[in-house]
Formats: sequence, C-alpha cells, structure tokens
Amino acid sequence: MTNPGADSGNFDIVEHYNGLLKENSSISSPVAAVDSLVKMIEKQHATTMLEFMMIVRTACDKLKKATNNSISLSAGCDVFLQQMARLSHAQSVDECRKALIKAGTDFVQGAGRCRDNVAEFGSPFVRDDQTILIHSYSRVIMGLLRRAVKQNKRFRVYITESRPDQSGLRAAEELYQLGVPCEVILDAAVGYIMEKVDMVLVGAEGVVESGGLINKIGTYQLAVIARAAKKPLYALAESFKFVRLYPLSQYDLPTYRSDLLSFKDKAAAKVDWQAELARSNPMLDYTPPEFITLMFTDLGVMTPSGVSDELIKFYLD
Amino acid sequence: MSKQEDKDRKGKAPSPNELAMASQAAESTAASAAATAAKEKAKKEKEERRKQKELELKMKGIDISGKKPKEATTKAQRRALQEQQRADKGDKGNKDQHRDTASVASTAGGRDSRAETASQHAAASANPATAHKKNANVNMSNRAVLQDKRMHLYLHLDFPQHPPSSASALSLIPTLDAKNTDVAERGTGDSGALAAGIENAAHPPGPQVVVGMSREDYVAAETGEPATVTITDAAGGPFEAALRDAMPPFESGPGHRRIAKASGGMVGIEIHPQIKEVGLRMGAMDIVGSNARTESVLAAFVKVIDDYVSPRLAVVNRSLHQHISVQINFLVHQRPMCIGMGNAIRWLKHEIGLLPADIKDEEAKSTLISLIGDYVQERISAAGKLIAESGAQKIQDGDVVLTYGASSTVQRLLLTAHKMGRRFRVIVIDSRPQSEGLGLVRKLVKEGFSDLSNATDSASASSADDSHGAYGKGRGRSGMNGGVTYAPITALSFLMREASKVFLGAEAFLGNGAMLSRSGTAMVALAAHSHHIPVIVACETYKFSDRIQLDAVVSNELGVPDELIYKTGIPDAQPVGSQSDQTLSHMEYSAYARDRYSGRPRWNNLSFQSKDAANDSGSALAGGKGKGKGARASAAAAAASSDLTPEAKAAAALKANCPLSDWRTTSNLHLLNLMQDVTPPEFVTVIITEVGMIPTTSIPVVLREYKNQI
Repeated sequence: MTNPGADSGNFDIVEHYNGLLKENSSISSPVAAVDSLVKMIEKQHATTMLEFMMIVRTACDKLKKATNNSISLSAGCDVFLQQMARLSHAQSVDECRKALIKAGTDFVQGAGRCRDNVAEFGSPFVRDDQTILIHSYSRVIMGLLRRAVKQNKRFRVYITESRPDQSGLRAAEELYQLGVPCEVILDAAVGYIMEKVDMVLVGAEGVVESGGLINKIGTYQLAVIARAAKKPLYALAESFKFVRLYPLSQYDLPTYRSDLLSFKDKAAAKVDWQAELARSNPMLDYTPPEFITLMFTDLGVMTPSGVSDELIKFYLD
Repeated sequence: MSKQEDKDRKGKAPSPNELAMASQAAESTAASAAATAAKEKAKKEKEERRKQKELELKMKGIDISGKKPKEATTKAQRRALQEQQRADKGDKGNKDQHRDTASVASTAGGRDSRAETASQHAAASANPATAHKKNANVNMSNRAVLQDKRMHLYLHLDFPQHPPSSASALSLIPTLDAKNTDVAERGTGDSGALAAGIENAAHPPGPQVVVGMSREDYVAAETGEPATVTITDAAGGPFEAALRDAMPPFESGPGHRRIAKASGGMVGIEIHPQIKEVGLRMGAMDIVGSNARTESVLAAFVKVIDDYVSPRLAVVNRSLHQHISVQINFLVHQRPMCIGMGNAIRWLKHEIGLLPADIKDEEAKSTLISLIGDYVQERISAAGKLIAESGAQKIQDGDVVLTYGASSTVQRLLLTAHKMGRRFRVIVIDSRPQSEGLGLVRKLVKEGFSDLSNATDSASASSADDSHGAYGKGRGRSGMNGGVTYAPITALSFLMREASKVFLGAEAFLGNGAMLSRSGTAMVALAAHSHHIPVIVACETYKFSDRIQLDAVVSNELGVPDELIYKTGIPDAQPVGSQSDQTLSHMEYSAYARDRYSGRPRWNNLSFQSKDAANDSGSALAGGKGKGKGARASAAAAAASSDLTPEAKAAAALKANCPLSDWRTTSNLHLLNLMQDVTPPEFVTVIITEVGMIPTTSIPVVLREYKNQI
C-alpha cells in the first residue's frame, strides 16, 4: 500500500516522536507531536494543497495509532491541524508549509514557557503550613511545587503511590531532594488522609471540552473524595493539553476498550491475577468538571467552564 | 383606593420586598405603561431612556403589593405618554416585539377596573377624533399586562381582543400563586373591551358574549366598515391612510378584522395568504416543533417578500419592515412565537434594516430571499444534519437511549445512528395531551428499530464483545437487541433505571444555560440526573437566546385547557388539530367565541349551547352554530331522549363522556395546561450543536461568537 506519508522520504514520524520523548524527559507528548509533525513537513515535498493536507492528516493518524496513550498526543495534533486549516487559504503549498513550520516551531519553543506560567499563576495558592495531596507524577505539578519551595514556602505533601506504575514514588524522590516533607500513601488510603489535607493538586493528560479532565487512573476517585470532604481540587494543565473531546462517562474515552475489566471467560485452570491486574485495567479516567475547583493554566487561573470557552473560541474562528 | 393616596405614594422607592412581589403579582394599572416602557428599552436611544426612567419612576410609585392598585399618572397623562411613545416609535423595528406582543396575558376583574374603564369610555367619547387610535392603543396595552418585571405568561388562550380570554387568564393566575389572592381583585382597567369581559365573567356566558368588543368595533366588523386611522410615518410626516381594512373575508369573523387593528395602527396592510395559512396551522397545532415552525415561517416570508410591492415614494427597507411587522403580529396572535422563530425573525428584520436606502425593490427582494435561503440551510437544515452526525457518535452498541416526546433533531440523530449500524434500544417517554411521542415511535418502527431479525443478528455478532460492555450493563436490559419501548411519563422512574443515555430536544437555550422545552422535559432531565445518566440535548444554535428565565412560571405558554379533560380515544372529544382527518375547514371563528378555541365547534360552544338547547331548543344561536356537530355526535347520543334537538343530544353525549365538559361555567374550577418548562443547567450534561459539543456554561460564548456573524 502506498501511503501518502511515504512521500516524506524515509522519515519515520513515530520513531522521531518516541526518540524525542526518550531523550528529553521534560517534553510533553503534545509538544513532541507537534515537533514531529514540523520535522515531517519539512522533509516532504507535496505539490498540491490537497496532497499536503492529506499527508499531515495521515501522519497524525499514524501517530495516534502508534502510541497507546493518544489523548494528550491528539491535543497536539488537533492544534496543528487547526493551525493548518487556518493557513490553508494561503496562496501556495510552500507558503503554507513555511507558515506552518514557523507556527509549529514557535509552539514548541513556547511550550517550555507554558509550564513556568502555570507555576507562576498557581504558586500563590500554596501557602505556608499547608498540607497538599498530589496524585501520581506530573511535571507541571513538580514545576509549581519547585517554585513554591524557591519562594521559601513551607508545606507538606502527601503523594499517592499511583499504581500500577508507582509513579508516586518518583515524585516523592524528587520532592525529598527539594527538602519538602513528603509521605507516600496507598491509593486506597486517599479517603483516610483526605481530612488532613488542605488542597489537592492533579495534573492532566488532557483537558476536555466539558471542562473536565482526563488523567492517570485514580484521579476521579480522588476528586470525588475531595468533593465529599469539601477540599479544593486544583487541576494543572498547559493550554496545549486542551483537547476536542466531550466524554459523557468513563467509558466514552478514545482509550476505552471493551476488554478492559470485562469479566473475560477465564476457563483456564489457573489465572495469574497479578499479570491480569496490569493487563485488564485502564490507565486513565475522566473527572467531570463539577469536581474541579479551579484550573491553573498558562492562560491564567480559570474555572472549568472557562476552559470550554477557550476551546470554543479556538475552534470556532 | 383613592387617587390622592396614590399620588402621595408616587416617587417613593419600592422596597426590595415590594419589588419581589411585583415580579409575582400581575400589576394591572401600570402594566400598559410598563409594556410600552419595555418596548422602549429595545431602542436604546438616550432620549428614550430618559423618558423611560420617568415612566419607571411613576411605576415605582405604585404599591405593587397589589393591595392598593393605583394609577401611575392620571389617565390623560398616561394617554399622552402613550401617544408620544407611539409617535416616537414610528415604524422602527421593535426588536422585542415578539416578546411583548406575545405576552398577551391579562388580568381582569374587580370593581375598580370597571370604574376606570367607564371613565376611559367617557374620555373616549369626549374625544371622538382619537377614538379609533385609542382603541388600537388599548389593544396593545391590553396584551401586556403581566409584562411588568418580566412577568409575563404567554397566554395561549388569548385571541387578540376577545375579552373573555382575559377573564379566563385571570382565573388561572391565582392557581399559580394561591397566596396572591389580591390579583383577582385588581383590574387591568384600560379598555372598554376588557370591561365587557369583566361583565361577561360576572354573568353566565351566553349569546351576549359579543360584548367582547366595543360597540363601534363590532358594528364596524359586522358591516365591513373600513376603519380609518391616521398614522405617522418614520420620517415624522403624517400621511393619511384612508385605507380599507384590507383583510379579505377569511374564515369570517370579527376577530380577524380586529387583528389588523391590533397591529400597531398599521391598518391596511394585508396579511399575506401564506402567512395566514402558516399562522392558522400553527395555532391549530398542525405545525409544531421549533424547527418546523421556523422553517415554515421563513418559507412564508420568502413568499411575502417576493410578492411585496413597496408603496410609491417609500424607502423599501422601511416599508418592508413595517409590512413584515404586521405579518408577524398576525402570527403571534395565532400562537406565541418560539424563541428560535423569534431569533430568525429578528435576524430577518436586521437584514432588512441593513439594506441600503436607495436599493431597488427587485434587488432588495432577491437579496433577502437568498439570505433567507442561506439561513434556513445553514442554521437549520445543515445544522440539524451536523448535529445528527456528531450526536450519533455518542451512541454506542448496547446503549439504551431514552427520549421524551418527539424532537425532529433527536429523531434525525437516532435514525442516523441506526443507519450507521449502531445497535441500541430506544425508550420513548410520552405525555398527554400532545402525545407527540407516538409519531416518533411510528417512525422508528417503520425504520426497522424493532426488527427482530436485525436484533438476533446483532446479538449473535456481538456476544463476545459487548455483552458485558459498559453500556446498558447493570441497568437492566441491555440495548444490544435493539427495540423500541413506548411509555407514559408516569413510568419514567421505572424505565430510567434501564437507560444509559438520555437524548432530548430543546425549544431554546437561555443565557444562563437553562433549557426551555416541552413541559415534562425538566422531569425527565431531573430523573436522569438523579440516576447519574448523561443528558444529551440536541439543539441548533439559532435557538440560543440571551434571555434569562429562572423558572417556567415567569413566562410560559398556555395550551388549550380542554385538552386536559377530554379522554383520548373518544372521537367526539378530540381536539381539531390532533386529528389527521380534520382540516382548517373545520375551524370556525365565531363572534360568540369565549376565546379563540371556540373556533372548535364541538368543544366550547357545546357546553353553553347545551344549556341553550335545553332551555330553548332551536334558539337562534344553537341553530347558527350547530352545523356539522349533530351528525358527528349523534351516534354517541343514542342514549339521549329522542325529543331533544341533535345539538342537545350531542351535548348530553359529550357530557356523559366528559363530565368536565362544562368546566368553563363551573366557578372556581381552573385548568392549567402549561406548554413549556425550564430545565436547570446542571441537569444537562452536554448540548450537541452544529459548532460542536458544548456544556451549558458555554451558551454565552456561542452567542458572543455568533453576534459577529449576525
């Protein structure tokens, strides 16, 4: 099958994307996606606008298929495609390509600053003698806490272990190095600890049109408990994580597979439950907007509905 | 109540409490002023605003608790003000027209108002030159009694100036707010017509109901005498419009003649036949649903514009504007506009206003017609298609979709999902008296939703995959086997447990995210919310409104009360509009009408006709009005004794089937058939629009983004 993507020489966009993520641990996947797309269009030689657009779309689809975690990646692809749609009435393909490369490069360079901006907007919410509960490992949360430490704020952090990859341990390690008193709790201990907590911080894989967010599994239950205990829950996300999705329930996500936790016919004599646990569990869940107090984004601190407003504005014009 | 006392209280700022009460109470005396004041607002002219402030100040002087109704100004002053405002208004577009004219509620009753109307009459006779004009004035104000503080009920009952409907409106209001017993004691007291209505309410109805109109009007109507009025054109130069009341004899009846007069004094502008057809069909509930109504009205306006010839020396955009306004008035009188339709018409008027002054007739017409075509295409048809396509994506295999009533958009969505091969079950919840869901069920069944072969197919194909899937699981029967369930709304809480998604249509979305829709929708949304089932609303953006409404009492539409008391399935008790074999030719508008629904001969007239027939069989009235009824009802009247007239037999049969058929003459019996309700924004999970899926909080953003395009 001759893939129009093959036109882009022997550039393998998936390989480039994975390489980017591997060599630079601080880059987030939407940025890596845009960067890969920019590299890809630099190397291909489409002659008509239609062909050009088709190549870009195919590349996006390829990227989404190749990775198991397509939500935040598709945010990057969406931004790129929207940008392309806006530029598509340029006079020539070359012009459009140039403009798109420029926009993409600007985006990638600006992305680094996004996290700093989030930290800047969010750090006033961290005050002395606070106890903060965070979930899993999130670079943007780390950025914010690092800034708070620099501002000489003294606070304590509870970190969920965040099974199955135990990314909470990594967060604990980093915070320990910063000199922040921290404690790792079991995911099952969230309800136990909630009463001692002053605020909850979560990151986001993607922020959706409803104003809710998609994040590492466990975020939803954390949010529900926080709401029940009347503790504020702040979500941190860069604006490039806004994604054009409107999940109606946990099962309305693009990552949903019907074989997840679906009572498979386990006729085998012996089941390796440990292996089964990792294999048949979802990695992400959806937190509806009503559980989110505020969102810290690089555009400012906004309510969840403010996010949907931003998204509508971005995609309407 | 004394005038002196009223004047003393004038200028006293009302306490918040009083203001709050004002929003509940139907303020009678000041309402006419309030209505005009509300219209003023739309014009945003500084000078106007100043004037309005004055007016408001005067209004505030009134004790709105309703215990002491009073006059804002002396009648002479008020009339002067009204005259002034009318002159100021000229023929400029009244953007709020659809609201104001639709707020046809009125209250009546009480000695005060009668006294006042008497004095009005005196004033009118003292000034015969303005008598006609004043009448038109009165008509306008009469329609907007509850306008005060945005409290207006769209009284479906109101046929422009048939006073008895005012009386029945009155009788309803205390049922809405039982505490406010004072309401009934206050009078609107502005029109002679109303006074007659009050008298009428006091006496048992009978042939004398004709006093619904002032004598002059009635005579004029009966004799076909032209009404001559002077109107002022936009430029301020008066011109004589000694035009015949050009309403062609249509469904003969003085009521229609009076419509022309009600249209802001622009007598002589003809109601286009197309508009008449659409209007009457809407009034008879033959055209229902926001989309259908808006589309048919816009299609009618294409005809209107196409046939329009601007008067000599007139500027086309202005004269056309005026012409259109009259047509709209007619439509509103048949049935209050839905919000989408109001938006479309406002847009049309805006477009007309944008036409250059020196544009030629033909050019203007072709521009407008193509614009209307685009609007229908973009905002309604294509929008509906987009919504159906993106909404269908939200239906997964195994879903159990619950819907309420029949929304054209939801129907399209379901059919699209079905065509895409999705396997899901549909539960259609329905309610009396409209029972619109039946049509949807028929359509779905026709399209093969309940096909058994299809169901077994799908069941075997999917057994591995989704039988334990997320959808429909744990909520009773899975939707994998397809099928359609039809149930009354009383079964809602039982069936809601089986549903996995709720799809609803909307009449409008308001600025605060609340949804205005067919009454009963809020119940469905509430039930879904409490079962944690997502509520998905399919709604085109042209139905978004920046209006805000907190509940369904401040503004609503009243349906035909009779629909509530007649048992369905009795041939003689069917409303005209709901029977397919019934056509407009069956409708008769009558001078004896108690309200516009007396046009339905077997209904309202029968109730008091039976009395007539019994007391005085063969009375002129019964003979005149009874045609066509006897035959229909005679079968049911077998039990009736043979010495009665057919009419009386019919009446007896009706009474036997529907014991409440004479509810109109039963004192203290009120029937309330509300048409709409308001669903709070928190119950709606997502709105599917042609611009994407949005939460209810984003309505203002869409409105803002679209402001630039309109």
